[in-house]
Amino acid sequence: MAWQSPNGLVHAMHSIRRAAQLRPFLQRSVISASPISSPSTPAGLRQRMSARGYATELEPVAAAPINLAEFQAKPARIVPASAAYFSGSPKFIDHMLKLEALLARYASLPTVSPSEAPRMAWFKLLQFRDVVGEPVPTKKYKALVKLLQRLNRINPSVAPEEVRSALSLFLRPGNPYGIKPAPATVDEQGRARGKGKRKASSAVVHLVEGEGEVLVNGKTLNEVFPRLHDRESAVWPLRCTSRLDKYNVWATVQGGGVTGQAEAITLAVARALLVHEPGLKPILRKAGVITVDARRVERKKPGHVKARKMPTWVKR
Amino acid sequence: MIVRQLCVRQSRQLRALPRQSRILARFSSTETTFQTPVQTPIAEPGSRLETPSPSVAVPEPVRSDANKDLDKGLARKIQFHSLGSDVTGVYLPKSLLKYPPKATDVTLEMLLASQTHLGHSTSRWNPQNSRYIFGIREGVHIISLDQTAAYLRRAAKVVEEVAARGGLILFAGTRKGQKRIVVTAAELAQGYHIFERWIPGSLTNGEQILGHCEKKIVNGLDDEMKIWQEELAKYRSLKPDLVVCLNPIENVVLLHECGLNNVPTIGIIDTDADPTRVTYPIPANDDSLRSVTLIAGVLGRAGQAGQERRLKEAREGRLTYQAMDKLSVPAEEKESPAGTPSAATTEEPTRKSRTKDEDDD
Amino acid sequence: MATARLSPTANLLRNSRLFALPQALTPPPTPPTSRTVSESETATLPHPIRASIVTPASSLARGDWGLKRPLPTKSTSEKSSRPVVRINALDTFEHITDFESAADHTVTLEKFQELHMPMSLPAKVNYATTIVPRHQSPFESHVDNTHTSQGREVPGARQFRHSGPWLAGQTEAEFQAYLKKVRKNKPEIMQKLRGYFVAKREAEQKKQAQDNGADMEALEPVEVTDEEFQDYLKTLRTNPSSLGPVVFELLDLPSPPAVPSYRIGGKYYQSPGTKLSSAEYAVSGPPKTHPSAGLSYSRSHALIYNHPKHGPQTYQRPVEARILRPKGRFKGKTSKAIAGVAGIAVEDLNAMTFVEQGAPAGLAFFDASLSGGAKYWVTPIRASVDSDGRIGLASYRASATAKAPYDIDSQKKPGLYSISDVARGGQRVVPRLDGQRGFQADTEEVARNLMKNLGS
Repeated sequence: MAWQSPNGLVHAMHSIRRAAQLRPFLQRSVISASPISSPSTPAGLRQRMSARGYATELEPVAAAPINLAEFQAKPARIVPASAAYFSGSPKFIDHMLKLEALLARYASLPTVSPSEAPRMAWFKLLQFRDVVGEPVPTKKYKALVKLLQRLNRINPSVAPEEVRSALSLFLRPGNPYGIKPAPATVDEQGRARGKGKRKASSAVVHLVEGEGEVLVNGKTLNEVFPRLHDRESAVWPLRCTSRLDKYNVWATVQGGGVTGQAEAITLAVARALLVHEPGLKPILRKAGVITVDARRVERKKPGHVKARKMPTWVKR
Repeated sequence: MIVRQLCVRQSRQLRALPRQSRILARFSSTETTFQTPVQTPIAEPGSRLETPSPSVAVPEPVRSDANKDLDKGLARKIQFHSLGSDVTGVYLPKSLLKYPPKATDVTLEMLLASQTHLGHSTSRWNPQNSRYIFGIREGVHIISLDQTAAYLRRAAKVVEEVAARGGLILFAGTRKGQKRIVVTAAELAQGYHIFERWIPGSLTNGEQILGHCEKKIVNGLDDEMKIWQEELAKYRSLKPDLVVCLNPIENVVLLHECGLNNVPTIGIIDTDADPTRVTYPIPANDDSLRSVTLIAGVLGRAGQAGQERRLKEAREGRLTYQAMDKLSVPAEEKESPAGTPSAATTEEPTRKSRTKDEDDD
Repeated sequence: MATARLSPTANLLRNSRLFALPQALTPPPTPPTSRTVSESETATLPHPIRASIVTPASSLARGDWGLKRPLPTKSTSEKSSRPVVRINALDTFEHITDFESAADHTVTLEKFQELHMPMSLPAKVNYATTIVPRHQSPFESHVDNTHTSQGREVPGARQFRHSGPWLAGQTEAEFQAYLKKVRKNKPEIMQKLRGYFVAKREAEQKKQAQDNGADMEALEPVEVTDEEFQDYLKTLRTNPSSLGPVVFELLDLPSPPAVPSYRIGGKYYQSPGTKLSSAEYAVSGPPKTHPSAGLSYSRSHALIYNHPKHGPQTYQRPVEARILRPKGRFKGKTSKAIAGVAGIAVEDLNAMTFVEQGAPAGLAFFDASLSGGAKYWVTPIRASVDSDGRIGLASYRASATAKAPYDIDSQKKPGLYSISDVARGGQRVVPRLDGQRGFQADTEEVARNLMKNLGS
C-alpha cells in the first residue's frame, strides 16, 4: 500500500528529520546516516534489492533477463498530469506558461498595428471556464487575452505555424466575424443609396453625380431648413470634401425635428458618398460625419417629472 | 573543510561553466585562422576568386517581406551579429537562470556575488538564526557564507534523493518576480510549481480544492498508462513529498499544512524568518532575486540529477520505489469521508514495514 | 594573501564591493542662528556625503544593484537613462532598501568636468574692479600639505589641514570639550613646551656666539633647569602676546581670523601668521576636504582650445548660463544677478547695479516673453572650494570674440509680430508668434561687436 502516498517517501523523510534534530550541525553526516541517501550503494547490494523486488521466490539463483515489455506495462505510481497541479488551476496556468514561452521566443518578430491584426473571436470568460473546467478569475483571464492579442499582432506573413495553432485553441467555435454584409455598390443608374438616423429621424439618400442640386422630400434645402446651420450640416460631408458641385442629392427624411432630420441626412449622405468614393473615408471620419450618434431621448420614468427630474420635495 | 576545497571548487566550477565551451569552440574552429590580419593584400583577391571564402562573416541578409518590416536596429543586429569579438568571462545575468550550477560547483564567491549574505535589518532578526549570522554591517545582519553553502548542499542532496525515489517535489515561490525562477527549477527537477497564491487547504482539504485536477498513472519509465481510469478519477488528491519554499515568511499557511501532513520542507530562511518552520533551512537572503535564482537553480539541478538517476535505473529494469499492484483502496477511502487521518492510521504499519525494508537494504 | 586567521567568509566579505563602500560623511551643519531656517528636504546638499552607485545595463533591467533586494525599475531605469543611486540604508524595519537618485551630484560633476576648469585656492574676487585674482593651484607642493606630510618642514610651506580644531568655528560646548582633552594631555604638552624652550635657547645661544665671533663648533648643548623652565612659564603666562604663538604652535591650531580693530589697542593672545594655504581659509576656517575636492586634477589653465576651422583660441567655448535671479531689489537690498552655470549658482560679475547698454535680455529684470527662461553665455574663469565644501565659480560674460568662432548668438527677444497680421491672413496654419525672426540682425550685431572689441 505504500504507493498510496506516492512512494511512501514522507515517512522516510520524517526519519531523516528525526536524525537531523539529533545532530543539527553535522549536515554531511546527517545525510550519510539518513536511510534514503545511498548514492554510493555497492552494485552488488542493488542487484540483490532488485532481485527481491522483481523475481519470484521459486526462481533459481541467476536472475532472469529483464523483460522490458513487462516492465513498461507495470503501473508504478500516480503523478499529477500537469506541473501546475498544486495551484488548483493547472490547465489555465499551463496555457499561460505556454503562451508566455511562445511570446518570449517570438518577441522579436515584426508586428502590425492592432487595427491591422486579423480579428479573432476569443472565448468569452464563461465559455473559457467551461472549456478548462476551472474557476478562472476575470483578472487572470484578461491577462491571458492580452497575451493572445499580443501574439496575434505578429505580422501574419511571418507568424509561425506554432503560434497560429496555439491561438486557434482559444477561438470561439464558429466564426462570428466571418459574416460581413456585401459592400454597397452604385446601381446601374449611377445612384448610391445611404441611410442615416439621428434622434427620432431617419433619412434615405440617393446620391448621383451631378451639379450640386439638393432635394429633401422633393423640396429645396432652403425650404426645408430655414436655419443656416441645418443647411450646412445636411451637406457637410460634401462640403468638407469639396464635392458640393459634383453630386446631386435626393433625400427622403421622416420623423423627428429639424435638427435631427438635418443630421440624419448628414450621415446618410456621408454613407452614400463612401459608396462612390471609398478613399474619402479618413477625411469623413475626421470630419465626424460617419460617426453614428446613438443617443436617443431617455424615457420618462414613473415618479419622475421627466426622465430624471424628481418632483420638488415637500417636508409634510 | 571549505578552505581545503576552495581552490578545487573554483577551478571545477570554471570548467563547468557554459561559456567555457564557447571559448573552446572558438579556439578550435579553423575559421579564425583564415582571418588573420597579416594576410597580404595581394594574396587576398586571388583566394577570394578561388573560393567563396568561409571567413566572410557578414551573412547575406534575407530579403523578404518580413525582413522589410523589421525594426532597423534589429535588422542591423542580424546583419552584423557575427562580426566583432566575443566578450568572455563576464557576468551574464540570464546564464544563472538558464544554466544553474550544481551543488558541488557552488562557491563562496558565487554566493557572495548573488547577495546571499545580506540579512535583514538588525531590528528584524529572529534570535533562532543566531548560529547562521556572521556579524552586523551597516545595520543589517550578515549571513555566514559557509553556513549557507553547507546548508544549500544538504538541501540539494535531499532534493536529489527524493527525486531519485520518484517523489513529488513542489517548488513554491509566490513573490513578485519569482515566477520564472520557480518554473525553471520545477522544469529541471521535473517537479511541480506554485508562483501565485497557495490556496489554503490544498493539502488539508485537498479533495475539495485539487479534486478536479487531473492525475495520471505512469510506469517506471514515466510513460503514461491508460488503465484504471475510473478508479483514478475517484482517487484522493495527491500530496507532494517535498516542498521547496522560496519565501517562507509569506507562505506560513503552506508550511503549516506541510507540518500537519508530515511533508518535509526546504526553505530559504532570512534572518527574520523562523527556522523551525521548515525541515531543512537554507540560511540566505530571500529578497534578492539573484540569490533566490541561484538557490532554486541549484536545487533544480539536484532534482534533475536525481530524476536522471531514477530513469537510468528504470531503464535497467529496477524501480527505486515499490510498484502498485492494483487500484482498489481509494474506493474504500471514498466511502469514509473522514479521509486523511483514518487513511493515515491504516497505512502507518505497512509504511513502517517498508521503510524498515529499505533500511535493511 | 590575507592572513590565515581569517575565515574564508571573512576574507571574501572584506574584499567585497559592498563592504568597500565608504562611510557616509556628516552632512553640512545648519547655520547656528536663532532665526527659523527654512530649507527644502529635497534640496541638493552643498557637497555629496554618500558614494554613488551604478549597475551594468543587463543587471539594471532586472533591478539588480548588488544590494539586499532589487531596486524598483519605476524609480530607477524608467526615470533616467543612466540611473545613479545612493543608498541610505540597506534594509530598514519596514523591509525597504532606502535609496535615492544621486544624479544631482554626479551630473554636476560631469558638467563641471566639461568646463575644463582647474581648481584654484579660494581668493576674494573684487567685483568692483573686475580684477581677477591670480590662479593658484592647490596641487603646488608648498601648499599641498597636511599636518603629517613631509613637505611641511620646508620653510615657507603652507598646509590646508592642521591636527587641531579651528577654535573660531567652535561652539562653547565644543570648546570646553576640547579644553578637557588638552588638559588630559598636559604632561606631553609640557614636555613639548620644554623642547620648544630648549630649541629657543639654543637659537639664542647660537645667535650670541655668532655675534661674538665665537667658535660655533665648540658650543655646548643647552641645559635647562626646572627653575628656568618655570620662569619661562611664568613669563608666558603674564604676557599673552608671547603666549599666543606658542599655543598655536604647540597644539597645531589653524590661525584664527584677524583681530577686530577695536581690540588691537588692548592685550590679546597674538596669533602667528597663518600657515593655511589660502588667506580665505584663515577667515572662514580650514577646508573640510582637499581644496580641489577631487573635482579637477589639472594644475593650470594653460590650455589652448583648438577650433577646427579657426585654429587656437584664447577663450574656451562659452557656456550657456540660465539667469536664476535678475538683479534688482530683494528684501530692501540691491543685489547682483545670479546665474546658473553648469549646475552651480554664480553671481554675475559684470552685472552692476546701474543700467547697462547691451546687457543680455532678462538680466536686469524678469522677462516673461523669453521662451524657456532667460539665458546668456558666460566664460568661467575661476573655480574653488570654500571651507564649507561649496563650489565657488567666478565667470565673466562671454565676449563677442569668444562667441564668434562657435556661431553662438545671444538669446533674442521675440520679433514684433502682431496678431492682427495673422488674423487678416487667409492661411489655415497657426503661426508661432514667439518664433525667432531672421538671422540678419544677429550676425550684423556680432560683426559690430567684434569691430568695437578690436578697436578698444
